[in-house]
Amino acid sequence: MARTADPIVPDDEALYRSVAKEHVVEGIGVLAAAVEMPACSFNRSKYSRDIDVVVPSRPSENGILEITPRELPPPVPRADALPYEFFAADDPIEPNDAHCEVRLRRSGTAYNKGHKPNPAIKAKACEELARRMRIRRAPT
Amino acid sequence: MEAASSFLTQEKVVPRVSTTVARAYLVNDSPSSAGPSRSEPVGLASKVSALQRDVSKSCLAAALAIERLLDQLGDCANRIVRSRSGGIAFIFIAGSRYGMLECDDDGVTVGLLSDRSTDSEADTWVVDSDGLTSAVRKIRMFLGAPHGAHR
Repeated sequence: MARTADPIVPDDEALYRSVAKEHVVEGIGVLAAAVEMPACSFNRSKYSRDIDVVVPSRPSENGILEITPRELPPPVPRADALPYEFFAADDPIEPNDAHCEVRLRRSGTAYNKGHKPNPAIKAKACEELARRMRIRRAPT
Repeated sequence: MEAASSFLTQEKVVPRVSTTVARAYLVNDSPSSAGPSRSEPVGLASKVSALQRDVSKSCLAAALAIERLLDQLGDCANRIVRSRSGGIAFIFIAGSRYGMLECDDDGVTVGLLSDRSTDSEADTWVVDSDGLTSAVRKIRMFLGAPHGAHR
């Protein structure tokens, strides 16, 4: 059984995610295609080592990305509606107690798992998140 | 004629291509290479054909449309990859700039322009069914000198 979720993920806690070589370009960094929105999975450094994100089920994803909640992108503005904002949410699951997600929600509203942002907003959010990720270990 | 000649169609594709095999086509990997790879346009058909496994029919159809258009334009993407959200992404690269056409599970294609040398926000838009050509041109304009057959 997974542990109880922490109410917050500290601003300075490193979050790790695996990445494949095809999603990293020299001179650019991490491509938007390497992440997903409106929820993107990470491992919390409080509960795991960085290398734990590299798993046999995804052999090509042998690189490691890193970001902290403090480094998450600013809200994504929209012309006629509330902006979307990023936040980190603890989300322990069986069998990964370290699992958390960087999520997107409409400012001032609760996160809704079923809400699908406009595809263009989603792509912009992926790009904004991807460009802020640091490559902790380069994929090969 | 177009569909029959496409490597995306069932007739020409081995049904169970592993993503490990696909990766070699996709990013021009070589065993000796290490770290992030450079962007070298490679054959389009061989890349896309490896991506159809676990992709929705709508996504595949949208990717087919892009494949056909690029072929007609004599153009090619630097990379064609599976996106982590389950779609297919055509990546066009020039220095610190890149453009992307991504087909999602619903068959919706989104265009993206990003310049990583600045802090400016990426430009993204939903590509209409009749807006694919202008989307490719928009990307090429953004990137400057064209790649592939235009070079």
